[in-house]
Amino acid sequence: MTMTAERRDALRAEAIRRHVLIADGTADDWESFVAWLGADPAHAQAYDEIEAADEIAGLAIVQAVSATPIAANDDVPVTARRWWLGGGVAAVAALALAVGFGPGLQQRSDPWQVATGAGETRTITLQSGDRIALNGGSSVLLDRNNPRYAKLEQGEAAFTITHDPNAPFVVHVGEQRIEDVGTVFNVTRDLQGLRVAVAEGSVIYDPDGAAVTLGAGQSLSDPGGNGAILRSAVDPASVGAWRDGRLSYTAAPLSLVAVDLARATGEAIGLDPALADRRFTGTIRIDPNRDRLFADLSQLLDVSATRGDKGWTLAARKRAAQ
Amino acid sequence: MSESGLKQIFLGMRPALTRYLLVRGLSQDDAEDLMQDMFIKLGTLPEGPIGEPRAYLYRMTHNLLLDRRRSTARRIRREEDWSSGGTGVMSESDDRPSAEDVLIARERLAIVTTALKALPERTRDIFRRFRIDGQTQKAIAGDLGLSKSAVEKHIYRAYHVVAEAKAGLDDDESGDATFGDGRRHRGMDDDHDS
Repeated sequence: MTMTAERRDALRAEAIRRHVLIADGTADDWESFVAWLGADPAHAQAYDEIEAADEIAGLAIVQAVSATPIAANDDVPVTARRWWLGGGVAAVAALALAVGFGPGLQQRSDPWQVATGAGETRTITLQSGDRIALNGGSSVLLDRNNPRYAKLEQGEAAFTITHDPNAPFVVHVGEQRIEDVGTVFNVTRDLQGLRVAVAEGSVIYDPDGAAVTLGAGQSLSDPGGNGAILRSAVDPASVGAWRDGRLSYTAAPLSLVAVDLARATGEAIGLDPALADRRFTGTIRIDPNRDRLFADLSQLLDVSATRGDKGWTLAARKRAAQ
Repeated sequence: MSESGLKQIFLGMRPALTRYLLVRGLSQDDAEDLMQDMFIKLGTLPEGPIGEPRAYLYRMTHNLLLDRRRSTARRIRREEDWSSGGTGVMSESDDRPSAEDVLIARERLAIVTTALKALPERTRDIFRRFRIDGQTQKAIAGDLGLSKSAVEKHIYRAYHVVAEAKAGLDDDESGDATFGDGRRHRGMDDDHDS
């Protein structure tokens, strides 16, 4: 049973209308929406399609609208502006943002977002003097009405926070919260889950749940779901080292190294799954010359690095003995 | 609205919210599971007045469903990527990420961005206000001196273009889909741009 194009378009139009309506809808709007969805499986399917479109449309529209203003309090406005005029690469956007249907879980907030394109970094200085450095391909959500709030939506950020016992700085990452206790710390959220590493002071991870306290030189990774939280030691000097164009690891799986590299360089990097668990200890300097960088990497990680249509692929070296 | 008040309302609405999850395609078990998560989450919310608690609870259910779908989609995509990738290597079906995801996501994003760029500037501006700034249809209409239905038309057009671009991507798994849809909608009437 195939659907005619007219019927498909009509369903899509209705799904979009409903989607716009519930974004700030009343409970009645929602009830009517639920009734519509339940009336015909094709309705639910049409709405799924729009929801999927909505998901990808967020980043796409940010990139498609080029005249977005830069945040006034950016540390490096000149550099930032050059990113814009430079064109070509995904532009760096700083703009007000509401995720999904508004902050939803946060009332009375005035959110704004700072995002970086692939391979670009920037530093935000808050009015309090606290600093947040954003690695490439990352976005953080801030609240003008709550200077002690930040939400790392994706990617990696290093926080330099002045501790105030009466108003702890709280970083939200997915479902989790990280509360500072006077601190320089680094937070990463990507496909690997969530990682926190502390350079100075300490933080409390998930204060209402596991309540793990991390001090300087400690790190934690939380894969999310039912995965176990892992704690490990980290060289405090290496925390947030990406800000200086370095990535430092102690026995880190290559799956993690590859994701970090992709973020820092803006290159697409495919990793042979056979290598995912191999461990790496050492420091990678992000050479702006990509060919040289990947040639070095191939030595350093003992892998083959090849460039294809879809970016770089890191694979196990072929060995006669195998 | 006190926290316990919101929890009370939640308990009364739980069947209706569960129904929403079921019509969105969740199994009964998964829906119950999500409702349980939501109940716990309600206990951790910061205090603060909530204007329309019933709409708020629907929205919160919707957002939690989205979170859950995202993580499920990521896992499924990873499994498919490596089993169909011709590398001869099957990935384990654990929750470990693949840098391949990053790459695919970037390609898809580029195609959708191109589609949106082909739209009139006014349409893009309105869509950005709706999708990124979180402005309501009414607020956008007020800001730009348009009717609500004119605003809806622009938003419709943007979603339509994105959905078409996505459909083109999803139809062609081999990755060499030629996408040329964005321009088709250019000629649509634009009833207020001078």
